[in-house]
Amino acid sequence: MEALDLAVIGDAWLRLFELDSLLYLMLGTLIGLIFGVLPGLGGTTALALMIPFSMNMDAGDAIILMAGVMGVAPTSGAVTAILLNTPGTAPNAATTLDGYPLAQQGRAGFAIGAAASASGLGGIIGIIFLIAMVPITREIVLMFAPTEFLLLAVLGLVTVSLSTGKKFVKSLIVGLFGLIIASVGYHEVTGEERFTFGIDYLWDGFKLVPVMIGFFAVSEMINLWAKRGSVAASGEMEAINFRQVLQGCLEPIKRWKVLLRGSAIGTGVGALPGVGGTVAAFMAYTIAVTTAKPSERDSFGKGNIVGVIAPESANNAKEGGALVPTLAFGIPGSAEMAVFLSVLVLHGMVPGPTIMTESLDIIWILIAAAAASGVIASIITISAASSIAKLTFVDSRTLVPIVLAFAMIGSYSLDNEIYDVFTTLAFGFVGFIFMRFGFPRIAFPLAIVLGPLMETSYFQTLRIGDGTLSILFDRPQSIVIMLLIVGCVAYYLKGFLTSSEGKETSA
Amino acid sequence: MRFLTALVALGLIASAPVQAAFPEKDIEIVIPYGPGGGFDTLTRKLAPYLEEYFAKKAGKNFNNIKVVPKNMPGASGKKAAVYTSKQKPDGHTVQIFNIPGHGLPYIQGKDAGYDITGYSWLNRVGGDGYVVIVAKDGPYKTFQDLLDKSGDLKIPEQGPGSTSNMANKITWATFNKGGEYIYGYKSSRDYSTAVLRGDGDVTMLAAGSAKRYNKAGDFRIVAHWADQVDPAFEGAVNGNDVGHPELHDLGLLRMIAGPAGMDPELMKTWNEALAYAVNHPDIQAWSAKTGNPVLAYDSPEKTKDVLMKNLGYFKQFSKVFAN
Repeated sequence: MEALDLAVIGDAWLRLFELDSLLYLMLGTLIGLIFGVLPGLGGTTALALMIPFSMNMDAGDAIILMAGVMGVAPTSGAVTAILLNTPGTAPNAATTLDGYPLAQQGRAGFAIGAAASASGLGGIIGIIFLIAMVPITREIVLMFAPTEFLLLAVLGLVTVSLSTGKKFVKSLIVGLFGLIIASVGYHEVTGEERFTFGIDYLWDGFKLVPVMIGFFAVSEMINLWAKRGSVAASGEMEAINFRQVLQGCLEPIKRWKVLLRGSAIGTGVGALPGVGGTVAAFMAYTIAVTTAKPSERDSFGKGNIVGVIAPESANNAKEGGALVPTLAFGIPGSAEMAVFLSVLVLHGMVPGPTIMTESLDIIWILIAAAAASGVIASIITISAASSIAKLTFVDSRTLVPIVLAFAMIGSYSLDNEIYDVFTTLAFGFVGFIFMRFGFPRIAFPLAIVLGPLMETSYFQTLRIGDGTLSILFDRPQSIVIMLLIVGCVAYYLKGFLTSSEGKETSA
Repeated sequence: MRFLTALVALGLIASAPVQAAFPEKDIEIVIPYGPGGGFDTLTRKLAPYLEEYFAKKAGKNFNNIKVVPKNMPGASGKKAAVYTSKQKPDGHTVQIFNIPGHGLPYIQGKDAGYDITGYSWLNRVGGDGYVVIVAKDGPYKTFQDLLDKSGDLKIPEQGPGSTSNMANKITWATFNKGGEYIYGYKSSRDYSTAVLRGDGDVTMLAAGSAKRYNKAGDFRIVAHWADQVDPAFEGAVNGNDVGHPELHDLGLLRMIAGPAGMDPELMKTWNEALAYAVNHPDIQAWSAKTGNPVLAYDSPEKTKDVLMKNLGYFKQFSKVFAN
């Protein structure tokens, strides 16, 4: 059976438009929306909770339900990121950097419109990439060895550091702090424990979600409480209407290059196992900053809509990319994909090179459902945006306790672990201190995610290369990534030197 | 309608009352890893058949008590093992164990906060032998080719202390062949793909996993440590062929146990429930299709004997693991 068999593709879409299938899709989308909005409860949690329910279902229905959840969670997570500086899912943290300043300016509707539209379009572009990659998935996965992962991690950290302009040194300090935090726990390469102080909780290191909720959401709530008032100035309230939302929706189309670049980064990074959506979103953000005109760079972190479009398009496009290693090799590209993988196995499918021949019909149902759920999510978000944006005018005395309660519940419910709540609180205070003293926080999440990947890949590259790194120069794909690193540095320096003075972002 | 039927079923399950006989309340099966892995998948697959068994055994009085898989990842399985050891031995909390992985502290004589030999061992639900795999298009055609390689073999692996790492170390130590381990791969899928990519020369997999991963014929299985080489592994040698039949004891087990001190009658009930689930035609068909080997024993005593034999086998090599 050919991977791009038109009859199979047509059947998949017809199946999706059956009443039962549509109901499952809507149910999955609804569940994904709720879990995406609540801090900490992303698509992974929603999928895990859906497993028992899906077991007695037909395989196609189960896949449609799951695809509904997966397609929508990243979109809805952007809403709280913009309104409350509280990322619904970890990858939405990048959206807070410019989305929240827009909300503070009373332009939340504009930002949500842009985020929803960028998410929907990014998701579709990701799916198109996936379709194009279906026949060559195996080659893509085999192309990326630890050597390339090492260089990609370096690329991520370099671009994020450069994007902070004159705050480069402060950004390095934040990045270093992130790397130290990332090094806590059992080291998978050496088999040693680091900085665990005999505490079992630290054995696996700090978990990403409680750290992110603390670092972005709790710190912002502390800040808001100290400032008093509301997220946006109340004088701006009339400005939030559906017209503003629609203007936001059109923005990704006007800035189609940002959209395409973000989607391409999202799909590419998503296809690399273990890298995931957080890196995709932050990398898209930092590349958007790095490639912006020098005169525009200072507007990032202060409410530049490009800073919303880039990460949101990447975040949704990564779903398409992440399916590549999941389906072709059974290697999940993310935690969410790991859970999805078990659903496939529970329904008797065997992910691997032969899935494209043995279960092609199911794969196309999955692709159709994922594309449809992204569009449904965007429509729902856009429809509700002008109403939910009014949340930014709620007084901090009402808002802060509610958001903190959700943040703590989200953190606790991840693993029913009280220490996760303590972690969230601790990183809330750390994030607040960084904010107070003008440290750009953007390097932190990337350092946390990329630190372990970089370290592990470094050790693996050394072992593969018989103790040297010369192997980096033996592989064409490694050389391409190295050129990208050099290109990013050179491009940024050129802009930095030609501008009258180095600009800075307050991200 | 499929959708409505499923919703109604969900509603019925949620509204069911509870009754006072074992099981008195919902049963939890602790999974020491996160959702999505082999242990998680197998447990979730078995749970509905365990419910079916308990329902049949209780007859009319059974009130839809659920068997709930509970993921408790952390500290490479230690967190769950400690948790289970502290629960009441009333049969309402049991755990799926990774043997010899969970037995590593016992094998190395270290304290991990739990005693692997002290649990109430109920039954085995899965288990497998090991195979040695290389890339089909690579330079190695036979097991002997690997032994003949000058210098150490490069072996992609998950990390020190993983069950496949123990299997690798024992295998290569048996033939006095040096191994340079490339650690840090996330799963058996990941490190077998690394062999395919050329990151390393060779690695080891559970036989069932090897069958699953090799559906496209990318790998060559050069050795199968079992009394009979599986027909799927054409050209592979076994321990008898290479003068080391003791390697056939090198296996991994997926076993279910409850906290220490469970009543013998309760243990027998659980043993039968697990055997019922594992031997159910649906599970057997699923096992054959997906390559997840399942097998149960006829008594808790046999289960404990097999456990101790497995741990004893690995304990002989405690010095190898220390390196």
